[in-house]
Amino acid sequence: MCTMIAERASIQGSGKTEKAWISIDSCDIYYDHPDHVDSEHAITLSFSNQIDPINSRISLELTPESAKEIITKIQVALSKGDSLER
Amino acid sequence: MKNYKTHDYEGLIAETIQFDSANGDSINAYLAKPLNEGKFPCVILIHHLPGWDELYKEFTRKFAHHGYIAICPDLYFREGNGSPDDVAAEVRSKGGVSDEQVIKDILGAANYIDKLDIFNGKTGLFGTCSGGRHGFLLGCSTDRFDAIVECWGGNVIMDESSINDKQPVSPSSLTENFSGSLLGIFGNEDTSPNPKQVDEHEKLLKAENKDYVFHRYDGAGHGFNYYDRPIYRQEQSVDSWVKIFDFLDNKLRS
Repeated sequence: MCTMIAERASIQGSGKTEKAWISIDSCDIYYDHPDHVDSEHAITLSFSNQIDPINSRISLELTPESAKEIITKIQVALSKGDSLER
Repeated sequence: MKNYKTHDYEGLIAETIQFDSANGDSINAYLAKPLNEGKFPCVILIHHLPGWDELYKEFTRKFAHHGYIAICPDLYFREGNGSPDDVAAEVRSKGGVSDEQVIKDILGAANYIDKLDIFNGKTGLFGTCSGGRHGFLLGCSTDRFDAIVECWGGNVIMDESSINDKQPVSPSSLTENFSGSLLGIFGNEDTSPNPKQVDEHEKLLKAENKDYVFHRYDGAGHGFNYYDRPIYRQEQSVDSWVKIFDFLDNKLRS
């Protein structure tokens, strides 16, 4: 709420809402007080598309430790995927 | 409300209204008014970064229940139409709304209240988080407000690297211009503002002989009266509300 730590990544992806899969073209990443997860601060990933950035939003709150764990596991998965494609 | 007894009449009306901002356009606000006989002071609520949300609607009704005309402008009205947290996320992605726009929206709300027959002529501000910061900034920008409640206002003390187009001035640098009375509510475990920043805020107020009082709570961090979040601290929150109503009753009803 108060850190104003915010980064935006332009991405190509899809997100699943309650109704359907939708195109996603950006992810805002915040480090701030969370709305729900029980942590003093959290990494919030806010995925959306610029056609309707407000109503397309899909968000996720992670403790900082969980965010680091996910980064690590993504890199492991990408590395394994890269070796498959060779 | 003070001196309330169980046989007393209580009533309020709360609804969305539109008012003219001093920005030249119209925006929504949530307005709550007591239905009792008499004239009432006003509290303008300045919502926090998470948005014009249900929590702030409940705070607005709380003030009306305690005998205030309470109005909470939707500072994010222009940014879009959606659930409050989705609109707030969009605002956050753009770096927030400008201080200049917030000041004009709050002044517009004050102009709206001025015209109400039930208004007693005294206006206070209540804000938490960015709203607390805006409240203090407004106190430094105009002598319109008699009492300001600043709850954990982050970025009242801003360093050079934080200054930007939307927040071009550190509110603390304007302390000499502060007008009215200030109540500050802070948690000692907060990191924005942290205790050193609150110390600095207080030091500047003291140096300028301003009418202020701070209450600083152990065992509480940022947003400790947000009962809908894990950061809620019941004992500190209940005590802070007593302090808030004592302060506002004293400054706005005499």
